[in-house]
Order: sequence, then structure tokens, then C-alpha cells
Amino acid sequence: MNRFCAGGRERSQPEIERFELLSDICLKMNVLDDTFSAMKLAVDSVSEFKGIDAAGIFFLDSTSGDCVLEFSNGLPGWFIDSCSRFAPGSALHEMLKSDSNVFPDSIEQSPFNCEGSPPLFLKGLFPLVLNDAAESIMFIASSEPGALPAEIRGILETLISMLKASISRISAENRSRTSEREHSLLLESIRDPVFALNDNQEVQYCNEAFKQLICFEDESIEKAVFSEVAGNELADTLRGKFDEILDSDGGICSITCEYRKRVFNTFISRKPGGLIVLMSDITESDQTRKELNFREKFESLLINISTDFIEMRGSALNLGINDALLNIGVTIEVDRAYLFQFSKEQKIMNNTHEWCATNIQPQIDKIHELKIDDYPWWMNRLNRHWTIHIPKVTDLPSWAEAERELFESRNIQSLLVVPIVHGNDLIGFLGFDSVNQERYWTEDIIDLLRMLGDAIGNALSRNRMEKQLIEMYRRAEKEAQTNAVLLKEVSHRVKNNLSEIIGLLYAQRRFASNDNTHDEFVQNLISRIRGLSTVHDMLSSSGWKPLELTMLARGIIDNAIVSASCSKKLKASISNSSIRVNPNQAHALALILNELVRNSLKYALADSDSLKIKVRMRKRRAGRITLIYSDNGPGYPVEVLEHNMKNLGLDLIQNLIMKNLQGELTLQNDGGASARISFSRTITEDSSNDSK
Amino acid sequence: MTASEKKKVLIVEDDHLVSEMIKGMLEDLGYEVAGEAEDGHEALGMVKKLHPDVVLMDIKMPRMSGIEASILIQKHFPTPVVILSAYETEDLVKEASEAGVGAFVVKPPRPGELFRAIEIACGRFVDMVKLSNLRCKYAEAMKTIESLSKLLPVCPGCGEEKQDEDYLNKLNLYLSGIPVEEISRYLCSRCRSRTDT
Repeated sequence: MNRFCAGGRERSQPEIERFELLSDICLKMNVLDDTFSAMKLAVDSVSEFKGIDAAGIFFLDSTSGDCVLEFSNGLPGWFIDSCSRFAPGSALHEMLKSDSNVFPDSIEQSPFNCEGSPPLFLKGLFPLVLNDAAESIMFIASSEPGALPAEIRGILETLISMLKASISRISAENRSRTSEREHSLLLESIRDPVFALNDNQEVQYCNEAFKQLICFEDESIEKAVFSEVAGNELADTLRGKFDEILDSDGGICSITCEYRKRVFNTFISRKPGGLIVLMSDITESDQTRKELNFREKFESLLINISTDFIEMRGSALNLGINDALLNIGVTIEVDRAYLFQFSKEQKIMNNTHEWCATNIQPQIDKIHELKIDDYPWWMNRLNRHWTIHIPKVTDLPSWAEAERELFESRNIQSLLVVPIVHGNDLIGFLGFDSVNQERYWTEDIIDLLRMLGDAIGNALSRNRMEKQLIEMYRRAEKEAQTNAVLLKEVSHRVKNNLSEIIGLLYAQRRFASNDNTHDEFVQNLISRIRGLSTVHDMLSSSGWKPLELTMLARGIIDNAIVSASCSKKLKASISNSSIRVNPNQAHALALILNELVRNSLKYALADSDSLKIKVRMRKRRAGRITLIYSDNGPGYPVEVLEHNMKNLGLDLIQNLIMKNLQGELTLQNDGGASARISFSRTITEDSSNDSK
Repeated sequence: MTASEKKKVLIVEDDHLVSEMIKGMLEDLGYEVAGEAEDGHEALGMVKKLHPDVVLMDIKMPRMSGIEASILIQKHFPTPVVILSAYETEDLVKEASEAGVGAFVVKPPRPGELFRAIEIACGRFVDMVKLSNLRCKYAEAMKTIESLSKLLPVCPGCGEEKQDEDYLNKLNLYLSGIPVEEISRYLCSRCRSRTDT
């Protein structure tokens, strides 16, 4: 015990006792954990000092505004009965409002007096502050009047200071406990892992979520080294950020990290003496975000592909499909993407386009003309326009043996196939292979790939239709050109024929004699025009192409015989020959043969009941053709053979051979009349084109 | 409808019956058929030999076409040519026009049509010959003017009398070249009056 006071003066025995009493109260007060106990201890202890008989503490009731006696020691019963509550405005109430220690020296008239009772003198007032909202005041009293000695006052002020300090301490401790409780509640209410580290990166506290995350099962985690409890995976990821934040003056930073297959957005903030870390689990949202990004990217790609396809034609479409397969293949991370198209008859399928990832063997050159009937399982689904999704090739059913063998021979582990349909027609399919691993495609991706299939289907169908249209247009154009040429040719032929008919009329007029009757004139004219008509029909039917001489001769002779309407026996023998003559020559030959037959009918039948006509044709050297016409009649008169006789028929024959055929005519009698016509077969420009 | 003078016509046609038609029609119109050729090549020889007044020419013929023959006829033996064809495309008409053909008639022609074509072709051909003669005379006159301008005694540049040494020689040379029948045009009035008396 210190026997000396601050000035070095040795303490007196009473002083030592008071000091010891004060020390004892202080020790007791320091271990108290509530303010009421401290106040009670102060009230109980203060009467130990000399000159103090009673003490008490009034509280200001915040609701009523009254001062209410809460603690008391040594107070007489009348005081407790009559002075335990003072309403606002009363003298005592005003007095209790003092905000500093008061030691009233001259309070003669004690407010605590009660008639008929021994007086009680107020010796001191000490305002106490419990918290910001409530006020209280401690008072001491004595039955003796007069002021308290100075040393007692000092003791009292020390005691009150100790009480105030204790009240402050206890309040602070209470607030701290409350705060800790709230803090703890707050931490536990956070579902994401939260923990605090000190500067040595030891765990100060954490919530259950963090413990569950790191699978910590021990009771206490406090003071555990972070890297030991969380493991190196998380510690290594966060260490750099921890150091960065610890080295800084404060602030907050965030980092996205993966831990135990989950994704966390980790917020690290500086706190006095360490760090607070909140690990927000964004696994689901991250996954959703990735899926949304993927879908957005994929949809954008599909829109671009579909838009591009609208403008693509021919080889550009092929390039476009290859480009689309590449883009889709890369986006959905497959090893191979390809397009198969079916033949028109739906019997064969061909791999027409393909994209392969790096180190993946292309198959386009190996898969050609696969017979559809060889893959019934496959086609059964495609014909129903189903998607074929095979996550595991080895799981294919037994009746898909052929398909499984095909896939396994190409090391395919999983594949997805979407049909390409236009209208109701299956025109092909899009395939996506996974070679390096087994894959499962989600419904979302399958739906999008089906949209791609539709886009390609539309483009292919449109391309096919456009090709057909172009082909039809070309054919129509060619036909129109041919028709235009033919029309001109027909027009020319018609005009020429009309000219020839007029020519015939003039010629017939020139050779007309008085012997000719009008009827004979007309009959001759009709017969000749009919000859012209026959060859015109034949040439029209052949499209003004070279005519077979045999067919020409047969047509003209048969027509002349029929027109003759003769009851006698007529027979024509015409040799078969492949000789063809151009339309102009055929025209002249038809008129010549017509005249020869008319001549035979007129003269050979005159003295006979039957007529036999023979036509022979032969091809000579250098394109020369010889046609021999003969009958079994009496033969030509000498005047004719000697060129001394002129008539229209002979004139026509001679001039047509000479001018139109530029050939020669030899007339002779050889068992009848025989006319030998020799001419060169000329290939005109028109007929040569026709021959082609 | 008859030709004012009996014009001689050469028919160039490879189809006998068409040839008959033209011949009959021409005779009805009062023309004389000078001859019949079967192609352009033969026509050239017959034009040279027969000097027809007009040629009726088909286009499509063997050996030489009517257009080629027309070009050669205009070049070597200028004669009016009337084309008579069953074809009537714009290209053919253009080719015929460029070949110097006088008229283009489509087969079979009406007689009046053929007559007008022949007469117009002949009329235009006469005009063309006159024009050609005038052009020759004009060229000759221009040549004379050029020669005379060089013989002017005064220089139009300085107004001085020409002192060229060979001036008189040139003048003498020019005067000696004047035909006797034209000499009176060059004489002075005194010499002319002396000559007149």
C-alpha cells in the first residue's frame, strides 16, 4: 500500500483507510459488468465515509419527465415514501438538473426535510450519464448540517469519477457485445462465404458458409492460417490480391476465381489490422451469362449466315455453306461439320460440303454415293424429319449396326444430325461429329442448328429452282430463236412457193396452145401445184432439214399416182438409199419427179393396162448423185430424144435440172422411157447447220 | 402499164419457176428480157456482154450472191440493179443499199410494184450518172482555175508585176494547150473582131 500521497507527504491513518476503502471499491467496480451494479456499489459504499449517512440515485424517466429514485442507502423510510419521485418543475427536480458535481455548503433548509422527522441535509450532487438518452444523478446526504470536509469531497469526486468510468466501460462493453452479436448475426445471414484475416493472414472470424466451402469441421477456426485451412488452390489465387490490398492504404478490390468447381466473385476490403473477404458465388449466374453469351453469339451467327444465303448463287453458295460449317463448327466446338444431299430419286446421298477441326481426318473424299437403303435406322428418322442425337455411338441399337460400323470406322464418338427439309421434301442433312470426346448437345443448340438446316435448305432449294428456271429460260430463248429463224424460213419458202406458182402460171400460159382445153389447163396446174404442196409438207415436217431422197421420191410418186385416180394397175419401185438432199434440191427434185410421173401416166398408160415405175439412186464420187427414173411404157418419141420437141413438162424438167440442180439430164429408151439425172449434192449453209 | 422505152432487163435467178414468173411479168409490162443468169458470177459476164438497162437480181444464189454481184456491177459496169428477194430483213436491205442497189422488191411482186421499182431505179441511176459527170466537170474546172491562178501577171501579195524567169514559159505552155475550138474564148476583143470579120 502506498503510504505517500502525490506531494510526497506521508498519509495519515484516516487517509490510508479512506484510500484503502476507495481502492477496494475500485477493484470491485472493475469486475462488474452492468451499470446498475456499479451504481448500487457506489451508493452502498459511499456511506462508509465519514460525514455521509445516506446516498441515492435519481433517474430521469424519459417518458414522464419525473425524477425517480432508483438506488438508495441509509435513507430514512419517510424519504423513500415521500421523496422517491419528483415531478418536473419541483425544486428538487430543478436541483437535480445540475450538470456538475455540487457540494452545497449552506443549504440550511434541506429539501428532504419532512415535518416530524429528523432533518436530512444534502451534502453533494453528482450527475451521472448512463447513455446519451437517459440522465441520472447521485446524491449524498447527512443528518448533520454543514459542509463536507475537503478530503471527503476529494474522495467522493474520485469515487464518482470511478463510477462514471465504470459506467462508460460497461456501456462500451455492452455495445461491443451487442455489436459482436449483430456482426455475428450479420455474417451468418450472408449466404456467401465471408471471412476476416489479420495482417498475418490468420483467420479472425468467418461464417458457416466459408467453413462449409473449405470443409472445415473443427470447432474453432480462429487464428488458423488461411492457406492451411483453405488449401493452396484458393490461397494461391488470392494471395497476390491480399498482399496488394495489405500494402495499400485501404480500398476494395474484386477478383473472379474458381474454387472447387465453383466460380466466385471475391471482394477483398481492408480493415484495421487485416482484411475482410466476401466470396460471392456466381457459378449459376456465370453459367447463365456464358450460356446467354453463347446463345447470343450463335443467334447472331445464324442471322448472318441466313442473311448471306439470301444473296448467294452458284459457286458463292458453295463457299457460303463451307464458311457456315466452319463458323458453326468452331462455335459449338465440334470436330467435324458436314452437309449431305440426297439425289433427286432419294436413292443416293452424297457428302457435298465438309469442315474439319485441326488434326481431324476429312471424310468428304471417302464418302461418296452412299446408298440410302443401306442405312434404314438412319433414314427412318430422317424421313420423319427427326433430329438424330447420338451422345454415345456405342449405345446405338442392334438394328443400327450399319450406321454404328460407319461411325466407328471414322472414330466418331458422338454426333448430331439435323434434317434439311424444304416444304415436305427431305433434301439432305447437316451433321456434327465429335471425335475426340463424347458430347451431349442441349435442346437450345439443337433448335438453333435446325434453324441453320432450314436456312441451308431454303438456299439449296432456291438455288436448284433458280438453276431450273435459268435452264428453262435458256431453252425457251433457244426455242424462240429457232422459231424466229424457222418463221423467217417458212415465210421465205411460202413466198418462194407463191412465186413459183405464179411462175408456173406464166410458163403454162407460154406453152398453152389452142389444143389445150381450159379444163386441161387447170388440171395440169393443179397437178403441178399439188407436187409443190407435197414437197412443202415433207420439208415442213422435217423442219426444213435435208430429206432422204428415197422418202422424197416415194412421197411424190405415190401422191401423183393417187391424184391420177386411175383404174389401171400402177406400181412404183423405189430403191432404198440413205442419200439426203438439201431442201432446195429436194424442192426441185420433187417438181422434176412430179413431171416425170405425169409424163408416164399420160403416155405409158395410153396403150397399156399397167404401169411400172422404177426409181434408182446412187451416190457417185465427189458428191455426185445419180437418180434414174424409168417406166415400162413405149419410151420417149424420137423428137424428144433429139431435143426437137418442146412442151412445158420437158421444159420444166430440163430447166429445173439445169438451173436449180445445176445438173445434167439424159433421156433414153431402155425397155421404156428412162431419165437419168446427175447432180452434185450441195450442202447449203442452212442444211449444214441443220445437220449439226 | 408499159415501159416508156423498151428497156432491156437481165434476170438473175437460180430458181427456174421464179425466173419464169419474172420473165412473164416483165413481158407483160413491156420490157425486153435481155437474158437470164443463174448466179451472180454469170450475171457479171452477161452485163458486160449484153449491156442491159436494168438488172433484176435475186440475193441467195450459188457461187456468188446478188449483193456481191451488185457491188461488182456498180464498180465495173455501172447499171441500175433491182433486188428481188423473198427475204426482207433489215440487214439485207442495208447491205443492198450499201451495194448501190436502186430498189428492193419482195417476192412475189405485184406487176405495178415491179414496174415502179425498175423505173425508179433507172431514174435514180440516170441522176447518179449525171451527178457523176458534173462531179468530173467540177473537178476539171477546179484544176483549170488552179492553173490560171498561177498565171496571174500581178502578185496578189505585193501588187508588183511578176518577174519570175519562167513566167512567160508557163504562159506559153498553158496557151499552147488550149484546144483550137476553145481558143476564141481567150482572144482579146481586137483579135476577136478580126477573126469575126
